[in-house]
Amino acid sequence: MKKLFIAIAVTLALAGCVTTDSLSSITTALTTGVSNPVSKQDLYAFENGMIIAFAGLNAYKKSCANGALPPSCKDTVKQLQVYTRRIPPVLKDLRSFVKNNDQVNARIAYSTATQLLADFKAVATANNVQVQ
Amino acid sequence: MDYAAIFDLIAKGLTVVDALMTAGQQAAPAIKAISGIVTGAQQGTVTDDQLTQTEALLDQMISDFNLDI
Repeated sequence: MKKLFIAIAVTLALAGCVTTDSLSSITTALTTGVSNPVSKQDLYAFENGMIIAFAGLNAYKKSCANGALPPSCKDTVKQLQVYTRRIPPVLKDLRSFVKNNDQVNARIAYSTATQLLADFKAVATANNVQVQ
Repeated sequence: MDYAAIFDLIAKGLTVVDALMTAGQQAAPAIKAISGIVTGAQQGTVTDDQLTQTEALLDQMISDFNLDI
């Protein structure tokens, strides 16, 4: 079980590429803009990183649903879902901006997405899910 | 392309795969994602088809997690 917690910790650390606060990340996005574009390659790597993160999250949720974890795990899943349920529309925008080469908006969407990942990493930490 | 970040991502991904397999959990999506990262880094570019497949898998996994527990 400890290994599963470690897996979750690593996936969340893995996915949390940026750990700055929201305002700082958006400011950075606006100032870097087209000088630091988000390419399809970047999007591809980012989404594959998220797949790895969600592999860990889904494993945790499955273990929780099967009763293999303490009952409090359900609360942890619900807390994480507050953030993960915000991801789909952000991803939709990010994909559209990247594919249409709208780099200013792509950078903002990319920062928003990475901030969401950082936010649910913080929730995991607060619930004693170890983050490396 | 930030290769150092890519390699770090791959290394951490392998750790996750190991932990998932040890815990008897489904590791195939994570393995597929790592394969995608490696292939993408080697190619230097990604095809629309590769991106579409990755997006479909990610969407499914997000949807699965977001279902009520």
